[in-house]
Amino acid sequence: MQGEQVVVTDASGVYRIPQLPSGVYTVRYEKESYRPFARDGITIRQDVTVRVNIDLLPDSIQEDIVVVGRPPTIDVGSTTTGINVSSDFIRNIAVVNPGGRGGAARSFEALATVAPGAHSDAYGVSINGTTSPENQYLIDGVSVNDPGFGINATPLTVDFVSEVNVISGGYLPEYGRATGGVMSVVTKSGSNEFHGSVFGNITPGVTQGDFNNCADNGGWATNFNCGRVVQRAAQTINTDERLWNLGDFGFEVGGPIMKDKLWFFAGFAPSYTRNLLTRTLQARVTNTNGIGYQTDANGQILTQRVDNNTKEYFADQSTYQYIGKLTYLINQDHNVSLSVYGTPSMSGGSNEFGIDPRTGGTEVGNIIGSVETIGTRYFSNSLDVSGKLSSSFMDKKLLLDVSLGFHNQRSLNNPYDNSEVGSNDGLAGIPQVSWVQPGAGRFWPLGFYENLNAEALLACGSDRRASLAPTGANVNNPEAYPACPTTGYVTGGSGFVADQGYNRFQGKGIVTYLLNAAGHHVLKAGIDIEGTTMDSTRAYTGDTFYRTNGAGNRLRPSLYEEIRGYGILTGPDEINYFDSLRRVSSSVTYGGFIQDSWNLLDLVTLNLGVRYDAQTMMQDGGGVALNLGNQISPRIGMIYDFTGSGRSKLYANYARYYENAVLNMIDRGFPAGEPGYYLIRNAATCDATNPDQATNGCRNPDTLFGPLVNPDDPNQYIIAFGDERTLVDPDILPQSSDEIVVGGEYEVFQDARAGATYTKRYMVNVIEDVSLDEAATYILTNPGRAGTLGEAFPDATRDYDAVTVYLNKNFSDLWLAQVSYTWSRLTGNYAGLFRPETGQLDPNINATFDLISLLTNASGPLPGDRTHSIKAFAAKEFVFGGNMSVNLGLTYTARSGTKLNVLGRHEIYGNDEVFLLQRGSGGELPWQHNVDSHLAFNYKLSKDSMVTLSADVFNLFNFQREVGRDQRYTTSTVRPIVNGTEADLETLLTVTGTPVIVNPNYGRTSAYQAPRGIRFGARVSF
Amino acid sequence: MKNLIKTSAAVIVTALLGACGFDQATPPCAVGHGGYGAQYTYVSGNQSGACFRKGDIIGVQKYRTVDSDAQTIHLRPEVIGFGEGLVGFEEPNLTSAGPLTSPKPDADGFCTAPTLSVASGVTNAGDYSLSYAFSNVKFFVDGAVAGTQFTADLTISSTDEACSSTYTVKAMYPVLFCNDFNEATEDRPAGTGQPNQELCGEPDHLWSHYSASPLFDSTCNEIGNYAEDLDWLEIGQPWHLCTPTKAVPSLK
Repeated sequence: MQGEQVVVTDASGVYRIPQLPSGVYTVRYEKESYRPFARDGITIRQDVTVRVNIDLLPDSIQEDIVVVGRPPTIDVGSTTTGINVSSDFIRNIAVVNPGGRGGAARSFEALATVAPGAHSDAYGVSINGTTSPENQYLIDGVSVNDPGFGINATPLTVDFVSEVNVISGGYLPEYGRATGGVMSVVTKSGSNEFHGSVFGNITPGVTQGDFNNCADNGGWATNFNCGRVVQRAAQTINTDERLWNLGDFGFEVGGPIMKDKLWFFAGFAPSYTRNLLTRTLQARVTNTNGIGYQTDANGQILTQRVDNNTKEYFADQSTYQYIGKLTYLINQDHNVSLSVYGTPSMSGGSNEFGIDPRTGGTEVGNIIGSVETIGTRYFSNSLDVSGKLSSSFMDKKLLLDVSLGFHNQRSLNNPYDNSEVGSNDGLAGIPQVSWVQPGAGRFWPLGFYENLNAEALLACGSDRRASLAPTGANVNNPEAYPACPTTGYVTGGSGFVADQGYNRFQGKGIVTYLLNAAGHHVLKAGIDIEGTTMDSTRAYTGDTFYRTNGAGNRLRPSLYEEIRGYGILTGPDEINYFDSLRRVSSSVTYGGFIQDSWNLLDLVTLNLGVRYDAQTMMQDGGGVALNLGNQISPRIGMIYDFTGSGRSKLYANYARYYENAVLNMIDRGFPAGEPGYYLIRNAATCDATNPDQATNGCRNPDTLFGPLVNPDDPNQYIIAFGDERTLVDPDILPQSSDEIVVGGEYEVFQDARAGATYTKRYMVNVIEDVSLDEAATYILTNPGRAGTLGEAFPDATRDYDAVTVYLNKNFSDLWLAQVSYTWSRLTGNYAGLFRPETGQLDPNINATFDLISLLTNASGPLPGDRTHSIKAFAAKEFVFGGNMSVNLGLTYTARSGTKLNVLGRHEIYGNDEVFLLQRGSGGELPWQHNVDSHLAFNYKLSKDSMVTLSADVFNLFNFQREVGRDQRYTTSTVRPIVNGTEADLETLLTVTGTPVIVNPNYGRTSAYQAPRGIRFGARVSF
Repeated sequence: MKNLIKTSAAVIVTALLGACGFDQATPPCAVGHGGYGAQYTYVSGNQSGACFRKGDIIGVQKYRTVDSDAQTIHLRPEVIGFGEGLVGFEEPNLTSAGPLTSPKPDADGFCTAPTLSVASGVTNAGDYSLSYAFSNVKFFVDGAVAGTQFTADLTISSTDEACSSTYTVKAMYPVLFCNDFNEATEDRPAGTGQPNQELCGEPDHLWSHYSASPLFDSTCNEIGNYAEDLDWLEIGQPWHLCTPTKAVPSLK
């Protein structure tokens, strides 16, 4: 605690102590001629109002101060749902699973999964059926969302954090610009005593056991020391990935600079992740006469491991987190704080693969190319500066809170050799070549790309030419059956590379006025102004990207297609290649709110308010790209405390939420799209695998193959696209959703609340780009909304209904427990700001609504739909003597499986964009169970210092259930089957009327639960 | 109290609304790339023979340079695109080209290229040459239409055939053939090649998968009856395209 606060009650004895930092408080009451009275153990958390009512007894003989228990724990001031994760919880429960986004750094955002209705998704945590980019991430009151994509950009370690408030719904107007939840983090502060810790954590990969030692028993714990390996149909190159180790170490310390006046807090924590990739070769077993392959009983082609051809690579990431904070108490009524924190991170290069900072996963699944070609050098950084002034006036009846924030962010995906994006140096100057099968049933053999050693030559054969098609005339030719065929190989430069820089300036001012008029009012009004910029450079190395076509003489392709790159047409069949495409876009959001929390007789609280926001997004070179004005968000809530003493509430709340639109859509669509081209070069005159030819000789018009198009086109050899601005519907409305929350909560015993909530959420308007003319021009509009250009499209829907029952016992008397069960339903055709089916993260311009033809069968249970979800956390501290204690924590989570789809290839949009059957008709994954444990041993070195050794075991019982399944039915171009069933798949034809080729991996497991991992920790705190 | 809140909220909201306009910006000049179905309205000159045509398929592309706002549009009539024209970029006079006067549409939403070069070539059958002189080409652009309809003046002439005819042109993207060759479905019998207005509201079934914007008001019109015009399509009878019903912009 930073000092002491004194308030005077009014004549009726009502008091309020505002602006308290979170912590445990003692309130002492004094009045002339009454006995002084104190109540301790009052836990105050961020944004929480607790009611502490006491009766003072008239003075008696005894002058002792009596301390009585049972302070209330229910937040009687709000209808907010969610959970507050305190440092007690973090200390007692195994939190932040190692692996995945922010796993090594132990980022705060993973704590959100503790809340009922919250689950991990590809880019963070989904709250109440929404997607992670829809959340608002606040650290010390200012936003740290990625201004380009909306995800959390500052993965700050939980060691720098005093508490995390996960607000999943029912929030007041002071929170806005989010259609998901709000994660509000308060960083630690210094106090009058020096406190801090030095800590280290490590999760060795070896604790995950032997990956080749796993019996199949439906994924239950059969072998305590195994990790199941995903089995795929026969392929020559195979890569297995496992954790090598990850960990972090560092310190945090806080204390006084001037006692009762000025405090500091500082910390530094490097962390690292290392995954091991093991690449092996499997050669197909051909029949003894060389014609055809041997198969197993299921018709799967047999392969055998090629000896002495195992290569190991690491994928590494290191992150350096730091924080510095000063808090200055000007006087009892005014204090200021200033904090600076950042999370620079780097990954890849130097014979290592990278870990994508956006997903936390290794950038490659299978090493089908050299590390130089497919490896990326990542650098990402965020630097945040925030300042806060809290003032009170008029005996703490009028409060002023002002926050200012600056967020700077860089996201760099460089070529492997770290050459500059858009330059002609090193790998940045070499185009990538993607090798396509040279024809149906034909392959380039491994020896075509790589020098084979003796064992590989023996197993794969020495023929380096493309194989013949095993059909018709040459069906009896051994050259039609290579033992080591490859698909998906890439050579040359890095392909797509990008360099993005972002800034955000944010200023907030909130005035609170406490008023007594027909009850007690907490009136709040605020303004909130935010400006963001995105400076984005993107390029294809060597200015273009080649794809092979055919295999003329079996020694090289017949043609090279240029399928990606930036450039514009300057005249008929004349192209100007761009080295890179750079745009600087920006956005300004003005907003404000007014709200009243009106309490009547300690029984009923009415929360009434409205928030207003207006966002204007500007394009490169200036000029308005998109105006999203008039975002009026009413919030109406009522709370009834039937005990009248802060020990119960029944509540209901209605809220409208608006999305804070992000700049990626402006960057990609304004003032023009991303101008691109398609053309074909003759391999006889252009060798695209030779870097010098690829960027010089190949540019000669004589190498062009064609004509490619109809005779009316002014260009006959080059197809250009994307050089026009995205249209904006003049009647477009900002994206918003509505929420209704109804619930009740009761204090069942001290520090324990039991409750139930019902949450309903649905989309009001969705912004997406649509094409009214099947892919010729695109318009930003509201799909399905009458009165807009999106009217012709199916309504964009996402309906969420959930019922949760829970029991929360805060940490007191050395134990805590949180148990919840959630039943929910999530249906519609709109998942949110990213597309879970393909992983596409292009908020508001995802492919979902691009074409009417993409939407057939698209409605049904969304990927986030999990009918049942159970979360249970329990912990107890055991004290032995005066110096020793043990913390034991257990977590059990379970949820039912997601519904699966049957996906096919769309004629324009490519793989996985056609719902062959109605969404959700592809079966269902099994239930997933997880048990984690936390064990910590504490030894007191002195009164104020302690050593803690801990072990967090994640997936204690090593459950190995299926968590992913291949939903790609075919890569043949198909149309959806209307009212189809699984039986119709057997007779499915392509758009040209030929039978489809079924993906041999369709319906196979694509991922298992992460095997057991143990994180060992050590900490000295003082 | 409730009223006070409501009133103050209303006042603030009204003030903010009054202070700023949230209309979307006028889009810059856009010209839809691709083939257009063009219908001609006769103005003067020969009313029969090689220069007298009801319409054409016209290909359109806009070009620009990196360093300036200058934009040039090229129009390429399909009828002279075949034959000798196949070498494409070596025969620049197969397109009628001219600069747009401004990067922004005028008050009526038109982006204009007043003066264009003459496109000349031998017809697809190779029997005579034709010249297309476009002028006053105006593409319509607004929040919903990205330069996918245009109007123009056109003179078609031929020195071989000693003729010349002048027209006004109205054209829309994409090329939608409305001779019905659809296969039979539960709802309708197989098409017999007869014109069918319904096809103007569907993706093209003969050539591309593209469809016209549902905002367009278009009509199925006879455009050609020269077998040689479109022998590659093998329609074998007068062919029809969906073209703007009204003056450009022809919107519902």
